[in-house]
Amino acid sequence: MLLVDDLRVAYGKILAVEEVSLEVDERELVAVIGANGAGKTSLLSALMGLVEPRGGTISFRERDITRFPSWWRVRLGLALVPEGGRIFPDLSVEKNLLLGAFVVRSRRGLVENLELVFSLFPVLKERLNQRAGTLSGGERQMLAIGRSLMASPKLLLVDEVSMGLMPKLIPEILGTFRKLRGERGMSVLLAEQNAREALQVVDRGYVLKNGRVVLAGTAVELRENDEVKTAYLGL
Amino acid sequence: MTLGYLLTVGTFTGIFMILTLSLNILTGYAKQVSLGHAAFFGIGAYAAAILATKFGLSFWAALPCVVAVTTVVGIFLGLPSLRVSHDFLVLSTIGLNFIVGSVFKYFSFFGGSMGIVDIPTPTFFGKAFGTVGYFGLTFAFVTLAVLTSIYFSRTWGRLAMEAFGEDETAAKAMGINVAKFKIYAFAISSAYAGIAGALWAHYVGSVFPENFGFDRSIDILAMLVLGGLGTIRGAVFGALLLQVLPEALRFIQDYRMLVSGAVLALMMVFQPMGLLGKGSFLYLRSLGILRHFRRGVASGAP
Repeated sequence: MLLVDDLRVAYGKILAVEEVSLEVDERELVAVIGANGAGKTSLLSALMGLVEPRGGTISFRERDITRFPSWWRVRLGLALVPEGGRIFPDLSVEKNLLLGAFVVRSRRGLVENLELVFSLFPVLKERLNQRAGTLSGGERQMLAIGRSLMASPKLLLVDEVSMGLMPKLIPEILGTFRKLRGERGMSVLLAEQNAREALQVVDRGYVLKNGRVVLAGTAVELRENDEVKTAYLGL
Repeated sequence: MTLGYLLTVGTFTGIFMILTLSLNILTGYAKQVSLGHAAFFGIGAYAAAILATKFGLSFWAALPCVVAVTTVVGIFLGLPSLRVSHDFLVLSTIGLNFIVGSVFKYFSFFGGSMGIVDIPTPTFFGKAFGTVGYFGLTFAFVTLAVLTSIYFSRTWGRLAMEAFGEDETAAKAMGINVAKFKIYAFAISSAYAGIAGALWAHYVGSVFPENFGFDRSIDILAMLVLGGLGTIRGAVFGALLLQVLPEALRFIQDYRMLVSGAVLALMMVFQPMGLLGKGSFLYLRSLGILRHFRRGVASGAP
């Protein structure tokens, strides 16, 4: 479904992503594990079309989207949950959700997606008319995920969703991605620092270090890998 | 104080209401702060003046051309906003204001510093508009501007503008074509300003470069900010207040600039959202009174 080949992203002279190749299949949950500054956000930004890659190709659903603008990628079925959520704090929760559906706009699609979001995060329904900036940290992340689902994505890119969350909430939030795969047949690419939790829910993973993929394998393989154990799982 | 004087103040107030509504779309909704809005106003006024004096077009025949010209120029002048944002955009709009002013001043086609004079008063079925008629004409356009603003404020376009006004990157990730909607904002905004310019040119009967200078741009922005940025009621109220207040303060003569300046400065400290903006003291109070009144009516019903 998503095929990334030899992708490079640079800011001026600083290389953030070097020769990264990875793929995500239909109905697959994949993690990109890496520490702060490993290049996870740069990678997802390039996939979303928010930064222009220096080289390499990105293809999505058999189309070369490397030079496509973001709005086109969203129409094709890509959506991003940005790092820190990046909800629109001055707008109401309702408007935030509507904005997620900017490329959908049909009434039926809107209602269906809203129902899905409310079934996953009932608390958002209660907060609908509240300013999004007044939500708690966990609720913000729920809104950010909900907002991205409003676009009916085929592949969801999730940037560091566990950051700043109460530890208790992390498995619950990550668990929703398994649910989405089951109910909607969605694929998810999860960029995570929290390897322990991420490797509990995904099928496969890549380890990113200084902008390069240094390791790839199934979740089980990665959990058992000595390097991962010491560097990311703290065992 | 004669009726004619009041109507004249009223007509100018109406023209400024259209200008604040125009700027509200660009700066209130799309958060593209423009300190060069008088340039758009001036382009409308000069287009109307030239079409009337050099091409002999009537006010009505010229109006669609004026709107077309200002919209197209607005799109061009909006292009820098795709490259620069925030403080740099503000600076480039100021620069734009000076460029447009210089073009009016130094090109003989635009009459140079002598301006363009003898712009005829519009007619309606062969009869020229008097002071009362022109006041009515202006407020017909104010009503049109308010109604179209209300319509626009309920569209996806406005929602898109609010989104990239807050966070451009997040808006892009939502699939919003930010460049397209920025240009829309400039186009719609300058179309309104064009109408205001045409009304001004035909009412005053002449246009001079200094009518559309940087100080006028500050006036328009101050009106909008004072009334309440991002709200239609604020745009209308701000124009009313800053047009009428200096007239009402005429009795203190030399101090009126001081007073209106002080009012503005105090407002920014205590009510930065504007007098009638979202969450302002006055707006919340009037909502409260309205609710109280409604409840009273409801409980008083038999």
